[in-house]
Amino acid sequence: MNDAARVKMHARGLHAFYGRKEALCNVTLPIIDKRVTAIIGPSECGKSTFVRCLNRMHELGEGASVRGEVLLNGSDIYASGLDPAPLRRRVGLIAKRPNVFPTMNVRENVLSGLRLNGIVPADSDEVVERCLKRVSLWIDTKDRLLEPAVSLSIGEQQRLCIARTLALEPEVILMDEPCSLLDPIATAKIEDLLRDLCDTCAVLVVTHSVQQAARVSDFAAFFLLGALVEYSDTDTLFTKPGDARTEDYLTGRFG
Amino acid sequence: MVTSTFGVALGGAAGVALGFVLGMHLARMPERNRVERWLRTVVCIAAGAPPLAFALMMPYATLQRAFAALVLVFPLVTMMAEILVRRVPREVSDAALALGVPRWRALLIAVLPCAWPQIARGVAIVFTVVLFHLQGSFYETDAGGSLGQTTQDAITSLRLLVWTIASLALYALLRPFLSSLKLFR
Ligand SMILES: Nc1ncnc2c1ncn2[C@@H]1O[C@H](COP(=O)(O)OP(=O)(O)O)[C@@H](O)[C@H]1O
Ligand SMILES: [Mg+2]
Repeated sequence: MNDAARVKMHARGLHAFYGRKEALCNVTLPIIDKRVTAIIGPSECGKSTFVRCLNRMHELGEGASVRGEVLLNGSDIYASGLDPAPLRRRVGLIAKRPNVFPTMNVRENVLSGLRLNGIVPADSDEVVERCLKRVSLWIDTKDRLLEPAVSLSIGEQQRLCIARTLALEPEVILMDEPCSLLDPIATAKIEDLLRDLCDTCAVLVVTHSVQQAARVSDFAAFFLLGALVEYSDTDTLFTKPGDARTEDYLTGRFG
Repeated sequence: MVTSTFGVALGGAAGVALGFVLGMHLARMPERNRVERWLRTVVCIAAGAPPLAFALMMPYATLQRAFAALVLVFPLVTMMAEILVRRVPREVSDAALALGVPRWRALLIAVLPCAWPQIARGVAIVFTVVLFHLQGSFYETDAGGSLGQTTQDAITSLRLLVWTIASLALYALLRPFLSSLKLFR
């Protein structure tokens, strides 16, 4: 397979700052289309900062700034004059803690990405059903569509957040430790879903679980102290890591 | 009597509207911006000053009451709206922004609905208190007479002026403490 031709997003020489503090230093990392890329690394090493740079959420923090470039389909998302809002619809971000809209019911949550952006779908029922089916939530919730979204279990809420993002038909989906608050069964459901999602988009998942990265990803990157240590396909990274620090981390010697 | 009640209600409603707009603006902006810090100070001064002091400038009793209601209501609503909106968990606005919703829209149609019940309750209380306050005891010369016509009114005005200055001084003294509470800033 010719992966170089299918680079969906490409961070190149990316630096990110919180005020003066540099949280990411010169990260260059491709994200391959229709594949799952995993980012692993100890906490505080800049994983969340990196994913938030990819859909321009990082810059919303007070004093936060970015240097370098991130290409999406070959064009820089940080090009001057570019409106970040439409970009965020193309590059969806799933947070660590499920953040359904507390004032909306299940159905409204699925449609929220469209409605809040002033988009009225031709057939809302179809969108709701399709998106909920895609995250295997339809059977469980089809009789509860009008109940508050916060009445779902936390694992269901996380899948609802994914459904809400899917309604916007993103090209890339970023997930920041999507399972860290979930029990093993809910985690397994999200992992199955990850494989599914890459039928239509590029998927980037941050995880603190090395095993999870090995299970779900095609490519993997190891971050340490704000820098990218190693990137390769998952098999290589896990069986023949090229860097001693990667090996130490994978064998549990730190982190 | 009826017209002045109407005036107070109208002034109060204008105060709610103004306070709401200002509160949303302050909630949307970063907390430490220069203009917003200045605006917060003005709002605090307005909250500390008896509306009568401002109302003295108006020619008719009804207008005075309406204006007094406006000045009394808007700072309270501004502060309340800002604080209540800022108290909505950050996750809500993050969720909307990550869906590509522009900032002001995210605030108005995703974050604000979470704060509505509290804001509505607060506005109701402020409004009732102000209406009640301005209706009876504030000044009795209702038949078109302006303040300061009688000596007693002059004394009342003077007393209120002293109160204004005292409350401003108190505010200045308490300011460091208040800002450490993160209510104003
Ligand atoms: N809002 C913030 N302000 C200042 N520093 C921050 C902020 N968020 C994260 N950081 C710092 O940036 C670095 C990377 O954090 P983060 O991207 O959250 O790491 P990870 O997701 O890998 O745990 C850390 O050193 C952290 O302390
Ligand atoms: Mg993180």
